[in-house]
Amino acid sequence: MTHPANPHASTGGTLLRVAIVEDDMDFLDTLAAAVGAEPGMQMVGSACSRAAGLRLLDGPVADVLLVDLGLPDGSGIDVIQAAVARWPACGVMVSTAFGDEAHVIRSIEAGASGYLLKHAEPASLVEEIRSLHAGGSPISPLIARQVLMRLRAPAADAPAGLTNGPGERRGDADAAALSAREHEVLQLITRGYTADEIAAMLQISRHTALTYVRRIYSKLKVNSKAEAIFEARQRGLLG
Amino acid sequence: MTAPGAGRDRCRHALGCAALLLCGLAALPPATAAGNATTPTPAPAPLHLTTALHLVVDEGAAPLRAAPARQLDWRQLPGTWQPLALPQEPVRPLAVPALVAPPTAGAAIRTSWYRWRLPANAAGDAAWALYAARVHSDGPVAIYLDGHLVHAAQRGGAHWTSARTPLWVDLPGPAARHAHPPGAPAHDLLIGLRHAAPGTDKVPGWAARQGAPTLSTLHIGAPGPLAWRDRTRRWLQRDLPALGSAAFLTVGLYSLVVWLLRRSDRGYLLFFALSAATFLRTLQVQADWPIAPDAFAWLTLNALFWVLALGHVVISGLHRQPQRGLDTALLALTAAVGLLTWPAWAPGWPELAAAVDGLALAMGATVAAVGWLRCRGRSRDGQWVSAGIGLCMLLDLADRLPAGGWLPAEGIPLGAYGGMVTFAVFAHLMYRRFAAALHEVGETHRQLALRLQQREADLTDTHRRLRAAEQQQTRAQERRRLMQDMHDGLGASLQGALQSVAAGPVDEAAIQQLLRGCIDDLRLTIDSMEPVDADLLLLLATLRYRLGSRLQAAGIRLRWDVSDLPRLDWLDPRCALHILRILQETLGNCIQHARATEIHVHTAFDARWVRVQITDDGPGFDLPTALRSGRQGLATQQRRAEAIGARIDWQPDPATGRGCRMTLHLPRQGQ
Repeated sequence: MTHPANPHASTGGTLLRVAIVEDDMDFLDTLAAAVGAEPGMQMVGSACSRAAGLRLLDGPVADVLLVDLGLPDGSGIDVIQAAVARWPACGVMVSTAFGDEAHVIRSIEAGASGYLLKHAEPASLVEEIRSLHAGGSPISPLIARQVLMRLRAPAADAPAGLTNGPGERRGDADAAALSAREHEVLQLITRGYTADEIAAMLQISRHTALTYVRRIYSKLKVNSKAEAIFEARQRGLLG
Repeated sequence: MTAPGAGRDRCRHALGCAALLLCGLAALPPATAAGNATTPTPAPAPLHLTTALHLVVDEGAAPLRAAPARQLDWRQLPGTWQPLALPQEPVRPLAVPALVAPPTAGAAIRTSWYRWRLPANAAGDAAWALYAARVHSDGPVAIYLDGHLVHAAQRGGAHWTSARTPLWVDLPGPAARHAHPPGAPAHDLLIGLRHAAPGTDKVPGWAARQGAPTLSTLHIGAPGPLAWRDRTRRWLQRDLPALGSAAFLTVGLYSLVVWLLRRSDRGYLLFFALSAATFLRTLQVQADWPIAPDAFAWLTLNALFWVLALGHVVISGLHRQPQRGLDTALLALTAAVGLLTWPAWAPGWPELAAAVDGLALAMGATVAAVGWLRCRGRSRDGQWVSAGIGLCMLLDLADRLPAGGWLPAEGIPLGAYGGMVTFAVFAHLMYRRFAAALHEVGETHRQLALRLQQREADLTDTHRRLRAAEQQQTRAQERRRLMQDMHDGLGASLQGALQSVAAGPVDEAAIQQLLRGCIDDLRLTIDSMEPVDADLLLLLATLRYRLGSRLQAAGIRLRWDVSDLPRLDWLDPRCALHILRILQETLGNCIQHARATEIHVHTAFDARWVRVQITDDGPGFDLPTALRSGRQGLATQQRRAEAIGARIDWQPDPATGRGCRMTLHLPRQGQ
């Protein structure tokens, strides 16, 4: 499986730096072993608690940060939010046993770009990390369904081509609306098609298909912020 | 009527003048304006004449109803004038006008004359009016001023209303008065009342004085200050009692209508009968025609008996005590009076009427007294009615007492107010019944509200219990479902893994594979709890997402060939898990047993069913054998399909005749 070059990703001799905040020592060891065995990847830090995770952010910057939500001294959500603020270029993944939508959606709204199923084969763990770093994001049909329900559908008369680009729809009001193509991708995912099949159907590359998901995730994050602001206004917390 | 040619010398008499103008003269202004027509003078206060000069002239056997002469000089009347104090009221002719029926033929007729000398300036320049509270006589009434007839009434004899109608005469104005010789200082007023000689009808007792005329004190003066006396007395003596009985009758008629609609309640009919009888009795206060022994006299006499008899029936109904003797006696008396007083065969009418009228008083007193005693402690309403009848009898009695006793002279006759007393008593009764009914209704409402509240509480309680039971049932179902799934899904997988490990040395990769299978089972269980919103495709997609990597690892290609499907509204977590497990089992079989290289997943639907087909290109299997052996979990799949109302079948791929095609038929409508 090949990944097209990403302008922000390391290429050639540059190492992909991975950090992890995880209290499950077995998984931590498995991952450290997998990363260590993978050429071009390097573990640059690990922490077993929320406090240690937050301290980790003062250290050297990582390219991908894995965070477990259920930490002994608090929620991994705090670490995700802090990482998004401190390491803006870092891709944050939440590690989860089941990839159930409740955990994943919450993490994505906090700023995570993807998730990692803990019990996947070591090879696919490394694969997922690489894919995320390259700009792709995993998504399950149930999560796609949730996103479709949370984000507004595109206006029916808007031509797909016009709402295709990532730079469009910067206005606050439209920030959380899906483009026609994004909507289409999500629909196909809920019907069980894989990223490869979708890429073939839409005549785009697999990588492009995966970057749609990343964009959709960021809209979900914006949407949750907008909702928070709206709610705060309603409650009179903001002017 | 004016008296233009009344030119006689009227100044010579002086007799009785001092007595004549007893109270009025002292208050009169000096007679300086006498004869001066051009200077208007203020009207002096009216004169009140409380004495008169009186003369009775025997007319012999002359007819009672003779027209009075147009002119008459008092000096030509024979006899000696005597001073008389007014009012002259030998007996009150108010309660029983029937008694003053025309005297029998041949009775001695007399005329009572009353005379006054009035000062010339008694009314200043204003027109005069003469007012008397009561003037009553069997025969005609004639009034002369300065010898000229100015008023004549009752030419056909006494009217029913005569005794109740005050006398009001507009005397000729100043212009006419000045026609008599200038310098004449005074006027002569003469009143003549024609009547039968008292006692000639041989009626015993107090009624023997019947026939004597009645004359109250007189007021003379400007009409303005006198008018209110006339109006008030008319109102109190005639109009008010008549209005009262009319109102009573109106309510009675209403009551009659109520009875016609509700025949069961005789009380309404009784009330109407009472009001009608009272109305008939009270008619006489307004009957403006001569008294005669006719049907009206019979009616007005008998109506009193009817009122009393009805009152007795009402009281009996209220106290509910048997008193057959009294009932019979009263009814017999009423009937007998009705028969005997019928004018056609009652020649001795006035005597009979007087006797019968006394009987009515006795009967009323009996009804009231017996009713009161019987109702004591039994019926407050009955006591009210008894007291009302007693009061009516007292009022009637008051009218029969001779004047000048402890009743005021010239008083308002009270007997006619009996109707209003009856009305008031029954209105009070109606009010009490109405209030009681209202109270009862209020009480009923309260009871109903209480019961309703109770029922509501019961209902709420039942509802709460039902919900609790429902929740408990839901929880029990959910628990059963999970237990079943633990047993068939994760439990079975772990059991299989344990058996594999226990059977002998297993390599690490195989153990990993087994455990991943267990985790997949668990993931599917969790996925089944997510709401899929009736979307079967989403369920299939989830299954592919979870198991796709295992197929890939097994080197099996997956052809995903699905189309949009109708909503399956019955797709709850329980059904979702069953479907997931069936399909998982099928895919698992493909991986483990079918030795397939490609799996084709296809969906279709028709009017009744939604179909999911999973076809592999393995060698296929013999269905009966597989079902019997139970190895491939086909029986479990069938059981799961039945649990959700679906069907499942297996057959070789019709395109190639090899492999196996599993078809799951899901109903579009739930069970």
